[in-house]
Amino acid sequence: MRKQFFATLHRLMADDKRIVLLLGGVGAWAARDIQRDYPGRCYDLGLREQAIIGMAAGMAKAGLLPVVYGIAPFFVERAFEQIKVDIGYNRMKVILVSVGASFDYAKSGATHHCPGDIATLYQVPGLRLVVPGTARELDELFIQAIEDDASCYFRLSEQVNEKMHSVLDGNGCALIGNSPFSSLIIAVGPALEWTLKAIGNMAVTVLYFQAIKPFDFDLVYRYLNGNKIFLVEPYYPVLAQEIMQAARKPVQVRSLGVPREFLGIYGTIEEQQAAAGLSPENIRREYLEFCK
Amino acid sequence: MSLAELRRKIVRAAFVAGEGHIPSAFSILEIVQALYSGGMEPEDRFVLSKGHGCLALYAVLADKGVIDWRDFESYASLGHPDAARIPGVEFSTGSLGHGLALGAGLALGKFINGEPGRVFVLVGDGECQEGATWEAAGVIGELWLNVIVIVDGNGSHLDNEMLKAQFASHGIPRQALEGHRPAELVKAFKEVRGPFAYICKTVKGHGSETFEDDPEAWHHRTPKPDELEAILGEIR
Repeated sequence: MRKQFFATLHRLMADDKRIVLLLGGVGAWAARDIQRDYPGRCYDLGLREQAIIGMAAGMAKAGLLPVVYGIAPFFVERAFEQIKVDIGYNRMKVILVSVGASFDYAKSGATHHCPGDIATLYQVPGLRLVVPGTARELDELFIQAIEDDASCYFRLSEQVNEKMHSVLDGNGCALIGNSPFSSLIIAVGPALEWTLKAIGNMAVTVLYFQAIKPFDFDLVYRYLNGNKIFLVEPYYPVLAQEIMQAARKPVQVRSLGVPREFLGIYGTIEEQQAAAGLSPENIRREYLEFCK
Repeated sequence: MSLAELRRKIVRAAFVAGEGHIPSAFSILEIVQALYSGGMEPEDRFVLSKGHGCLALYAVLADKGVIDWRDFESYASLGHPDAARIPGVEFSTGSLGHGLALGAGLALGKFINGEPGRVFVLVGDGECQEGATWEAAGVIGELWLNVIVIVDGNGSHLDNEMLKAQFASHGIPRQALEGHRPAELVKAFKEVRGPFAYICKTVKGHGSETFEDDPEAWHHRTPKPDELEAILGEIR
């Protein structure tokens, strides 16, 4: 997905002279083709995450379209106030692209983990949030984001879904299966793959979200038949409230996501995922329990 | 309009709005006026990083006809600058330490676009305690951006000599300046090209004994009805 991001950006920069790539001490090697072909529009500004976000907003004010790339905790969490004020409150269009969340730097420990990026950025009015599940989805959604007026955060993941799902109605939501009798399952980004493995061949309706903010309330309403909604998010969960609002009636929601605790695990991504209760086996267990 | 008249306008606006940082505005009034009275060229841009000094900016913008005096008091009631509502304000600021990076980005953007013009950023000495200010200063020094930092060095938080050393260590040439001498300020701003830092020696509350005597007590306080006339009368 990371490779796709740089390829997509490289392609778009050929035609859109507004686009400028800003790096913060990471990604220079991955961006080498961009640096070679557009040296005047690619800057590695060093380990200065707060200033980079502020500068991106300043460059947007000058009419450019800055794309900031970095490791999730180091700019989402460190430079949160700059994202809120300089980009959000000042209404400057900037595209933020992260790698590393939630546990993609699994063995590096909690300093490099970032399951809180989405919950943190959910607080910024006007900022779109996108969690692509495949490289092709990222390509499609990134082109949309460049064309849109709003600022957007892309969360790139090491784990990807096996199958690409096309974007519906520009909302980044795809639908898989359609059973009128069962509870509704909602999965976000790469959590779709874990969820599909968990449910096996059960006849259920799964809504898949790649773009979670702005939230597509109508899609949930349209496909809700019963009163039970099972939600799987690959980060500190944030969507339960939106889903209850979307239902327009009392519903029971079981929200599965990364628990808000330091897991103290130093294994692989899959081991982190299992420790967070997001293995397919555990998702299945939780779902069957929920359906009783 | 004279500086004394602008100061009276500021006090009245803060009184009517019940909001404002009058001593901070008085500290930077000559600097802002100098920028808009020959210090800047039309293609130059100004970022007020210390947003709480905004009444000085609004007064100068009104004096220059950018905003209407009739709106001045209502803008005062908005607290810190809201760029979406107030003409002539480049960025919404108020949270300290953001402005220098915004200005650096604006300057880099102008450079990439091949546009002429400098970017002036006015920061308070307190903002120079923020790490983000020095992150931005490092970029400005490294990329040799056309940014002129003006420090309102009223001594509230940091020593001006130390500030000079700090800017120098970030590769930014710097010079001390008297912050309440309009002609000297205009001359200095007119000639400079960034990167550069002016460490301006200023007095918080300058122009009113009441504010100068106890600037911290008046930092975010507006006059009561029975204090207003005395303060307006003493302004110089």
